[in-house]
Amino acid sequence: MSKYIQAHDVSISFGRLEVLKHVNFHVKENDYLAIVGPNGSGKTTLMKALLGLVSIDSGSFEYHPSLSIKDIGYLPQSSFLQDKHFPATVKEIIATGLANQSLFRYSKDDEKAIRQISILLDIKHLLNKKIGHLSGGQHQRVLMARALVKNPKILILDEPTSALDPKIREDFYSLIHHLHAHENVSIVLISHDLQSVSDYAKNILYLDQEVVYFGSVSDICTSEALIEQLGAQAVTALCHRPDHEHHTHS
Amino acid sequence: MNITHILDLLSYSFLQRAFIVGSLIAISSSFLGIFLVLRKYSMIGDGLAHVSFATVALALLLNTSPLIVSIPIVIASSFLILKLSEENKIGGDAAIALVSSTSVALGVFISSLASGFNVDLFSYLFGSILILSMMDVYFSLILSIVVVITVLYYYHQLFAVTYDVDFAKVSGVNVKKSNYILAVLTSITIVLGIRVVGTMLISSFIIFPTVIALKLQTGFKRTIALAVAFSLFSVFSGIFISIILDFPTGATIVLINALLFIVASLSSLVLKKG
Repeated sequence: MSKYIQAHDVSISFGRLEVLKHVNFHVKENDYLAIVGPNGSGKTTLMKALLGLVSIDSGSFEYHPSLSIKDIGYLPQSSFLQDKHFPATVKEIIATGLANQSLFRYSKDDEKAIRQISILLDIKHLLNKKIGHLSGGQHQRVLMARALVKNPKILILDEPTSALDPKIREDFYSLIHHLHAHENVSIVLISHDLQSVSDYAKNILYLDQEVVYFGSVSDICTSEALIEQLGAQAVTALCHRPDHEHHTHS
Repeated sequence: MNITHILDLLSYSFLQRAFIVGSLIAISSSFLGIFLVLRKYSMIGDGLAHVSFATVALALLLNTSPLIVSIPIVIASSFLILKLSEENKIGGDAAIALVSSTSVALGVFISSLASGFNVDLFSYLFGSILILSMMDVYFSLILSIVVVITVLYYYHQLFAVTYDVDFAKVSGVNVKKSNYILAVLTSITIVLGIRVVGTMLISSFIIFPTVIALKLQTGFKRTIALAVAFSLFSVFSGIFISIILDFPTGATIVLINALLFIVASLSSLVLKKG
């Protein structure tokens, strides 16, 4: 299975503050990688560097030659509250995922892509609604549609459920899992909640400014570095949850 | 005042020129306003208006057309503001304050060098529809067409950057280019507007109609259309009222906008409670 993205010894600092030190990991085709770590561990900085939004001090990212900019979808942290007064419809927001159209009107292909993704995410009835009039869950689905409208091979999500209540959070994780399992989208999910993501992810990158653990979910129980970081009790609890086996192998 | 008087007034060519130029500025400033207001760039308009004060003083000193001197210098200043903000050496608001205060100081300095044109300079400070020539009308027409067509052509990119700059970057939108396009178009609109409302009031021309339209909470394109409508209304009623009651035109237009803003704010409050 080919590697879509490879990070080679990536280090990033803001002024004198070192945020990430010598980070190595990869994202494979059809991967489901969760990047986990406490607040301030450098997760979002790593994701932004991966997307070209933050420059790196040393090291490099290597992208598979078959990947182009349209193959990477991005779902940022929820902007639900900021969007309350933004004067745009759901359709206009989804269309920004197709950005690079240069005319005032959408092309037929753009219209078709917007319709298809809105059916897949069950938001077709919201297309003409104002973005500020949606619930938190609907808003996040719209941003998901924006990320997926160009059919990316990789979807990068930054704490997508942080502003959602637990029931909607669970639905959202199921949706991501569906996209991964049935639409063959590789997932890179950033979260501070190792417990939730380990239900769905195949691989874990645990960060705390440097890589604490990078490997499969099934091997986290035997990682000495992770046990040292989180404590034996927390890791053991993670490995013996009743729903663990069910999700990771579904 | 009856309809005959109004028709009589409209037969004056200076007034016709004022209506044409005022309408063109109303349209181009409303096309830009939404991008500037939502990206919190409103103060760039204010800063560039102060730069235009210095360029008008320079043009008067050199006894040349303020439009020709102002456009390149105001565009260059807008690039300087963007550059200073982008490099993050100082904040965006501090960059605007630096450029704007230096320009005002330069304007005052230049005007002190030659006291003969102070009356002309005053008319550029607060606008005067009497100073509009046919050349101004042609310039305004061409430049307004440039502004509107450029916004329409880059509409999707400008919209994407306005909604979510990081996402736009990741999607391949050239954010830097979008910013520079916005800066050039804003500079052009500001220079055109100083003829009618003056350097002190032109930024309100860009901000007010959009903020009023935003109060009505509709879609993006409709907000632009509403801003155009409010702006045209304020220009037409402002020019009429100022001629009839002998008020300063620029100030009257801006005060009508302020009144519309108060009415729109109260209506949206009432609708929310209802």
